[in-house]
Amino acid sequence: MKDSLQDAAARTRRYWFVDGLNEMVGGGTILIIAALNYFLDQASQQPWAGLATVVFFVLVVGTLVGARWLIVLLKERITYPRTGYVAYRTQSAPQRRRHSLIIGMTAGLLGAASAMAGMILQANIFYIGVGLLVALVTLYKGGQYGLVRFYILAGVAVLLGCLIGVLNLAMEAALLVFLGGLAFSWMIAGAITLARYLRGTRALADADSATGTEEL
Amino acid sequence: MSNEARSFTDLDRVLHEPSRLMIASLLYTVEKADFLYLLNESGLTKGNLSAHLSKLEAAGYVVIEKTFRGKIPRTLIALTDTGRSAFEEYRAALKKIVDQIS
Repeated sequence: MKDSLQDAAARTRRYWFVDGLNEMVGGGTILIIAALNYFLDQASQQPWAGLATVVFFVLVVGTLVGARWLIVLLKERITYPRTGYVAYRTQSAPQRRRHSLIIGMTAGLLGAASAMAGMILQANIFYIGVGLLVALVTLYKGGQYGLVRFYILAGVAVLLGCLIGVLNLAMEAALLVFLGGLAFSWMIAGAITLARYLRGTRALADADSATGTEEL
Repeated sequence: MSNEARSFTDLDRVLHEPSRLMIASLLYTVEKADFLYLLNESGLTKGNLSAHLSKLEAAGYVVIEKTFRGKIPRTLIALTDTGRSAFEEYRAALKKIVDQIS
């Protein structure tokens, strides 16, 4: 019974990832950010480089907010009518502040460390490190939710880092290859998961849904 | 009555039924879920699930809210604070019994 209870709780936590929409939208988000970063890099020599940086950050934040909105919208249309709706518990205000502070500090430290490493190291060595870091985070998420496909995505991140190492690309081209490769691998993983999900489920007709509620 | 035997009789009878325990464990990690989700995850029939939810509601362990998603009715079910505490106490009591036996 203990195993079955733990399994039920784990299944519910994993449910957010059941349809692959997160990876598909997440991959698209990475691709957009990579493209924006490329244009920002091209604009760096222009007199309006400062304005381009501000626009870049506004567009990145907009993309992240839009991605979240899109996932919820797609789940409303695809997932909830098929396998049901779940609202996850939200953190209390102090917990949220603490969580945001930790994430902000970690992101800041990692960003500063990456910028320093980027200046010191060559692109090929740097991206092997970035690939390993991304793989570690992806492995952690895979372990946390029990998602095997995340282990494969972690492997892809390591492979991309090593590929850049072998190709010996310049820093800007390496970033495009790394983020582009990561984005496509996420979108493919998401698309496969979504296809399997759609094959294995069916949207209940309105009448069926209504029957479920009427019985209570 | 021995302590071990008393531990068994102290178990929450509402949650001790496997289907209701499954429903409570599904709801424990979330804020709320709809009828369709519980139906899919529990593997119960609509009638059975309705009956168990009614018992949990009567015990004050779940709250049932009827809403609409567009024109489609949606029944949302959430574990109450009482239900959450009861589930935690049940798990602790069960663990204590298992520890006593082993």
